[in-house]
Amino acid sequence: MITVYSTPACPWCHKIKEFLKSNNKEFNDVDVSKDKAKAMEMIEKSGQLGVPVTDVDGKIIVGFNQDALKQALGLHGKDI
Amino acid sequence: MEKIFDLIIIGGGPAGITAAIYASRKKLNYAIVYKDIGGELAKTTFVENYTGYKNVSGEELTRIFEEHMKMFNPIIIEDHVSDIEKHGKYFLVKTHDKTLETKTILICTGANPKQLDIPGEKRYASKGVSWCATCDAPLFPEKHVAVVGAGNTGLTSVLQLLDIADKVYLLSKYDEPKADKIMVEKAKQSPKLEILPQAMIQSIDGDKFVESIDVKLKDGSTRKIPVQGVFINIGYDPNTSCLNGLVQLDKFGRIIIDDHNMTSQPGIFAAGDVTNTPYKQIIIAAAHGANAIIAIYDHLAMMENKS
Repeated sequence: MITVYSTPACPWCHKIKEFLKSNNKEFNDVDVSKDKAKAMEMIEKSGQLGVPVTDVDGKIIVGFNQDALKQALGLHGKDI
Repeated sequence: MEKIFDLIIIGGGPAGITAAIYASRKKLNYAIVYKDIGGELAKTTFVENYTGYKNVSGEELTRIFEEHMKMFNPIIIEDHVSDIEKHGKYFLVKTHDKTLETKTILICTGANPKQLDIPGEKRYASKGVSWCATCDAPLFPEKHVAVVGAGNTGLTSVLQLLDIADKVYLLSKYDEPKADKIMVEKAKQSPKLEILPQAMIQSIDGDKFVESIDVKLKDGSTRKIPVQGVFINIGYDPNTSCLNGLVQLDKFGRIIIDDHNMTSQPGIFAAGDVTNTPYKQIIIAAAHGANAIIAIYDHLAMMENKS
């Protein structure tokens, strides 16, 4: 399961969502500005206070790190 | 390398995008190389001073710019430029997996938010310390936060945080914030705001996350202020790492340009926040992009005449 923790105006958050969509990956889109409990969950999982955070089956990726995302999603080696 | 480009534009912010639109209309044989479309504009919460737009988010304006540029189907390479070098009378632009040969280069690489270089800043990066209020402000509801820097970017952060946090300290280097008066006046209406004039942040402390900052006040005393967030908006450092010493920089590391946006290296031009233009504005960067392309067009014509 993939969860993206984001805020509405954050450009990197949009990039991650676009990236996942373009790779046909479904994800839970969590707006931490509206959901305090989810914000706390994100802080606990990532140990930090910045968005975006992506949880790919328990693998936590902070920021828009395409290489880490590709690796977590098993997309390495594919030309995308 | 199959062909020689007329021009490679490096950077996808307002300067680079505007340059691409002008270059398309001039029918130049060019490519634009960037990693992140929009640059600093994409991270701006709202824009109220770009002619024709009374109020637009940075993200939306970036989208409109991008759409305008893509209308001309330019060659876009989404990558970092690692290196540029001189190659006979032309230049080579190197990315991660490509080498492009070009007659001219336009550098629109912008600038990155400056760091404070104080104890605790690195340790608490993303643990309360942020350079992007647009991204991270929503994570500080009912918290106490400090904004360091009282220019337009700092005041944008303040205005955003006043809607979310319980208390916002604004650390201003000067007696009065340097931002546009309209923003300062709006911020001052909030009882949540406390402006600390001539205040210098000394250190950021905490445990797992930020808990306090030490601030040297105008009267010389030091005050420990409990805050959970520190937003740093003290200006920008120009991105010139790919330049390889090819062009002359000023003492702030910005590219020196002339009236035609040309650098000290004939054939290399620069536009926007990376240059020594004193004022950093979206509309100024865009105008630079336009000016540079007209100059590059003339420069290319001159090169043709010579050969």
